[in-house]
Amino acid sequence: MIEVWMYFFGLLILVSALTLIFTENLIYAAFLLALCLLSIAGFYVIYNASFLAVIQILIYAGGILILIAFGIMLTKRSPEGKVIVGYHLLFFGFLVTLGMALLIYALVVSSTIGPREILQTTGQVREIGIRFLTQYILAFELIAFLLLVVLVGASYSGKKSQHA
Amino acid sequence: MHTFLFYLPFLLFFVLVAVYGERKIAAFIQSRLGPMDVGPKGIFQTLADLLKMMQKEDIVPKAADKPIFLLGPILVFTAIFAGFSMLPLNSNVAGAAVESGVLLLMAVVALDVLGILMAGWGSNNKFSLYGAVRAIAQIVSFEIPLGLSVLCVVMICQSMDLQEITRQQGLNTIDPIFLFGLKGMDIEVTHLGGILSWNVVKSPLLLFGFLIFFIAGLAKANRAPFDLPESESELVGGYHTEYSGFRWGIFMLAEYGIMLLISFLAVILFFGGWNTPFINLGMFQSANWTMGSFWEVFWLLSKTLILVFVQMWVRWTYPRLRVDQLMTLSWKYLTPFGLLLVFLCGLWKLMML
Repeated sequence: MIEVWMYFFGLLILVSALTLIFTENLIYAAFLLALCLLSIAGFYVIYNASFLAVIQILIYAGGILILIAFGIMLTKRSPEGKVIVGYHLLFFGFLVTLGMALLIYALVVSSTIGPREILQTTGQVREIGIRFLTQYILAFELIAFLLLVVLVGASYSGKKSQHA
Repeated sequence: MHTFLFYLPFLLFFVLVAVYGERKIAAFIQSRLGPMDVGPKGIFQTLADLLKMMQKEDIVPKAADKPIFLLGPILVFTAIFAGFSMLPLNSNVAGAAVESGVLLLMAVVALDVLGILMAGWGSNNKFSLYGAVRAIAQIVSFEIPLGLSVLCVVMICQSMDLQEITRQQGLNTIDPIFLFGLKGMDIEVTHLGGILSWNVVKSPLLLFGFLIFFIAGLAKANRAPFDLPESESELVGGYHTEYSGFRWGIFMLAEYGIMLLISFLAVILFFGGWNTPFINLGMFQSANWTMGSFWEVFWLLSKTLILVFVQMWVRWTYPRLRVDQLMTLSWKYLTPFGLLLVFLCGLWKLMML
């Protein structure tokens, strides 16, 4: 049963990601990105990482995607009501893609990553919380500090543009 | 297990009753009669409206972006109805067995923004687009105080499972409950049950948490005084201006659905969920008498419907806010107050241990 779901979500990710790249309509691309991210959340669910799936929906599909969509909504659209994009800088695009593909290939063939033992399905949140405040406390606090700086910076730049 | 078999028919029935109820309540508040013609006291008015709506043509404007326009309302309703899957019904029937239930509920319901965006953008109409921009700005802003007030409850209960949170607020609890949660006072009220075990009494700070939750919930449901996205005097009908017939009906269903969902969530988080309000006193074991599968469903639904009534009451009492007032309320009042409350609830939890 897990394999059926795996192929289902995998197909969904593949189709939505490919269509996302080849569509010229920017708002379609944003919604296809939503579909792609939600399918990845489905992948997390079938591999027992339910907390990660919830966070994926909350942060990526619910948060970041809204920012992207908001940006598109405030851009100028053509008279037919569409935002059309074209293809530019194809050479460098292929270069970046090739580099990413090689990097991912190198990661996949290296033995350090790969399916680990499946963790227990309950108590994940507690475990993550305890790890964050003991083992990974420095990283956790640094990220919290970084986010605070971003927040202060954003409110400061927002205020300055108001008076300019 | 399969709570949606209860919640889907209940939601449809609720919408029929609530539309009529809202019109009657509005009429009462404004010293009018409300619908009176169809049936005795007009009780079949909603049914007549529904029949009329179903017969309308499903119009897609020529300039609209067709696939997005058609998908929008469906996505809005799906996202909101998916939130119901996590709600428990009584002590035996829990919702979906998700450990991080309340977080998943918030995440899934937040996806209705995508549907609103599809509707507003797909209509290719400036009023729809303004409505959608306002709706999204408002929902995303109020998500933060809403999340903070839920976080207070999660800190007090140390669980994100809605069934577990409910179980801690009544006679079925495993840990002992002290009066106002203060272990130092050493007055144990576990056997008394009832209202003394509810979260708002167990940790009285959560009463302020409930206020934040309720205000942010009103904004999330696009209800007055926060109904700027569909303010008819400025934006015709907001993001659902171009919709007709059944697709418009789905938006209506979603609006009442989220009202109900927010009320359910408030009852479960703050007012004991399916637990009885009565207390065991001496020979009057009223808490024990009023618990059981049927009673628990009754308590959950009646508390929820009272909160829905309060939402309607608020709608017809307060005037609509301006956009800048709305943002000021969210970012300058509710969010800092919510952060302070999270801190204070942490201290209170230390006294409860």
